[in-house]
Formats: sequence, structure tokens, C-alpha cells
Amino acid sequence: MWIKQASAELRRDPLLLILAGSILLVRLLYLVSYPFHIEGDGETYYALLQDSHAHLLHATGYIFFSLPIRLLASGLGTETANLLPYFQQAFSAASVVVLYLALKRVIPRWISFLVCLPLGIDAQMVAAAGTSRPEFLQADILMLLVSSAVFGLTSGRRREKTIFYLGAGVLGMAGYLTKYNFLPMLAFSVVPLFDAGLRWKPRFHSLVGAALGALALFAIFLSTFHYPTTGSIQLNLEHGWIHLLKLKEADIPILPENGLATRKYIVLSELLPPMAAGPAPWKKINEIPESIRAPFRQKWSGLLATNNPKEVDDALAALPQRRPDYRHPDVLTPIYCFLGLREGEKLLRDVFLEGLRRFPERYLANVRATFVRSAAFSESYMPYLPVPGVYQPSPHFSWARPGFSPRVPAFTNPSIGPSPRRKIWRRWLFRFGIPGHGFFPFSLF
Amino acid sequence: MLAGFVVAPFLIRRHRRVPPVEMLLMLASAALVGEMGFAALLFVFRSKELILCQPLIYLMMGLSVALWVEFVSVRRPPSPHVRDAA
Repeated sequence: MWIKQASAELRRDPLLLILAGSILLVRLLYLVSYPFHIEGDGETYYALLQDSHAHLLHATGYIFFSLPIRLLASGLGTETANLLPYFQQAFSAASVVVLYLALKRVIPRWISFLVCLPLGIDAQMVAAAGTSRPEFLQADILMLLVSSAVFGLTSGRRREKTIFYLGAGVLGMAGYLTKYNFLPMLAFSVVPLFDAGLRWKPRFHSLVGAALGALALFAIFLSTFHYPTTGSIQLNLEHGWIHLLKLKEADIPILPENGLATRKYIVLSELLPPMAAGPAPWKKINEIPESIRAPFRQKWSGLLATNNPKEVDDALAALPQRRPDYRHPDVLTPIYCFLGLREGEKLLRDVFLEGLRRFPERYLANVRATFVRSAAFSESYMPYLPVPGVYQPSPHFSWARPGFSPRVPAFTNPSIGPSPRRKIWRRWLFRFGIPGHGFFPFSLF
Repeated sequence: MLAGFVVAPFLIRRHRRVPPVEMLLMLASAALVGEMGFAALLFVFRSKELILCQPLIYLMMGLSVALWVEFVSVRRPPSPHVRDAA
């Protein structure tokens, strides 16, 4: 039945066939040309997927939704990284096709085609689905969320509307769990409120249905995955890291004059054992055993809890301030590690707020500048392409190699960094134009 | 991308309600501005955020083109496929 409907749709709409064929062709070319990119945070995500583990630093919806692929890989006796690239590209391609089907219900078909074709073959979008990072999934979920909202708006039957709006709620939550900066996209989940085809009461019913769907997914995620593996009902305990990076961005210094919490932070960061920043302490709430934390907590819990400025000032006066920059992640990590994640979050939030209160004009100027700068999308545009042969090989080498293209040397790499866009584009076009670097010795490039 | 907002008020007036295309354009722009603002308040807008926003950018361009096409073809009755699907 479903196959009959799909083939009838294809006969009616040749643009659909051209769209799906073009997107699949480009993505297939990408798959034979590039290895699966596992690097940086991507390595953490991949390790978490292999362990079926959530995290308190990274949002782990991507891990949760990829678990069936890991189980399938396990059943087939292969590495998950051998299946992920194909599933991810297929899911991305399918999301664009669904968006096309939705959009053509409200705008002319040719415009819908012209929107979805470049979106489906966009170098940045294709490359994003070739990594073990969650951003591609966010974009795909957004496309499905918009599609679900449009299908709901344009459906004639009440039952269909209810189902699509419920889907929009579930997809909104799926996007949020995949990465928390999805929050503004939830605007599309409130579409039922604007549905002129419904009276006000059914609109609210649909919205409540969407919210219940979202809550159900959240409850499943929390009870079956996040809480059992992290021991925390809080999704993230790493805001302090971002807060301090923002202070650095805004050129707000961490000075004793900022406030009491800042002085406590300076004292603790000078006296706790140094350690390099990394995601390890955030794997679960008690990743650092209590036996290690207990002596530090015993010694410093009084200082953390006190509201007595003299006590803090005395501690501050007794030690030299050696750190050139207290906003570096290496400085804040020992606080989270040795005193606890929740304790670190509370202290760092207060440090952030004190910085804002002392230098509000710097913060606001930075927010304004960042907002204006972010509107220049071309400056953020960066196809994140792995470059074989340039970086050091890693144990992920054999996992990432496409099985049917044995001559392609596949490497993970630390980070390409923001190479000049023109150069990246030339490289990209060059490889596709050949087509695909896999058919030629990589030393040429 | 934003060109649709030039003609949207006229089309809303013509339809005496907010049709789906205009509403989607408003929601997409709200989501995009929200994302840019969210990133600016908490950190910076990076390529990671752009990957998320990419569908919105293409969507807004397409919706704007569709609104202009409808606006300039004012004398032609709107296609049932396009307008009255809702």
C-alpha cells in the first residue's frame, strides 16, 4: 500500500525523483571519497555510543537515537562506524525529501524543489552527516519538525492534524535532546496555535497533545538512558565552562573585585591540584570516586558555603595569584573534578553573574557584536572535510575506511580548523570533479 | 531571505488571515533570530549553529520567493494546490 502510494507519487512528480536521485548521488560520492570523520568531540560521542552511555557535558540525544545502529552493527559483527556513515547520509537525504513533500503543499512545486536540492547537496550539510557529531541530526530533525508542522497545517482531517502536531512535539523534544541549542526551533512545535482550520479549543488540545508527546519522549530518554548511566536527572552540568568562555569572549576579567564568588573561585583554582580540561569528569555524577573527592570537600566546603567576606579575603590574601587567565578551562576543571559537578556549576554561575554585574557594558557590547557578526552566514560556513594523508592516523583508521573503496586511506584528525573557504571549496570541487579523490592517489592532493 | 516580509502584509490583507506560507516565514525568522540571539547571549555563533540553521535559511529564501511569485501574479486566482490545501 505504502509502496504503491510512493510509486504513484513518483509518477505524478518527476521532480521528486530528480531530487532524491541527485541527493543520493552526491552523498554516495561523498561516502566513496571521504572517511567517516571521528575526531575531537566526535571521538567522545563515538566512545559514548560504543558504551551506550549518556554524558553531563555533551547532549546525548544523538547517542540515544543511534543506539539501534550500534545494536545492528553488534548483531552483524562489525564496528558501528562501518554502518553510521550510510545511515546518517540516508537519514539526511530522507529528511530533505520529506521537507520537499511538505513544502510543495504550501508553495509551488518548483520552488520547493529549488529550496531542497541545494539544501540536500550542500557541502557543509553533507560533510556534517559524515562525522560522529550531532549537528547534522539537529538539522535533519528540524527539517522533519517543519515538515510535520506543515503536514498538520495542510491536513483536512482532524485525526491527521492531531497525529502530525503530536509528531511536531516529539520531534521538538528529539531536537532538544540532540543538542540544547535547538531550543529556539521549538517555535515550530506551537504551530497548532496558529492553525486557522481549527477552532481555539482543538488548537489548545493539539498543543497539549504535542507537549505530552514531547514529555513522553523526555521521560523515556531520562528513565531508560540518561539517569541510569549518569546518575543525574539534570541533563547538563557544564554551563560554567561555557559561562567562562563567554567572559573571555566579552573580555571580562576575573578579578577579586568582581565579588565574593569570584574570590572563592580564585582561591580554589590556586589551591586545588591542577588538571587538564577534558570531558572525563562529566561522564557521570560520581565519575570521580567519593574517596578522592572527600578530603577536598572536607577542606573546602566551608569556604564554598560561607557568606563571610572576611573569611574569603583572608584565604585570598594568604596565597599568590599565579594564573595569567582564570577563564581557561584548565582552571575550572579541578573545581568540577574535586569538589563535584553541582558545586562547580553553582560557583561558576555566580562567578559569571558577578562578571556581568561588574562589566555589563562589555557583555552587552559583545552580545550585540556577536549577534551582528552571526548574520554574516558565509563567515561561519565551513564544510568540515577530513583530509586524508595530512593528519596522523589513529585507532579509528580501520573503522572509518569504506569497505568497497580499499584504496582510500582513511584518517581521523584533530581538527581542520577554519581553513580559507575558497581553498576548501576548490578542494571539494576538485575531488568531486575528478570525481572523488578515492579514484586517485591521495598524494596528489 | 527577508524579501518575503515586504509583500507578506499585503498578502495577509488580501487573504484576511495569516496563510501558512506567511506564518512559516514568521516562525522560521523567529527561530533563526532566536538561535542567533541564544548563541550571542551564551557564547558565539559557530559553524555548528550554522549547520542547524541551514534548513531555515534555505526555507526562508524559498518562502520569500513563493510570496513574491504570488504577489506579482495577483490577478491570477491562487492555485488550490498552493493556497487552499489548509
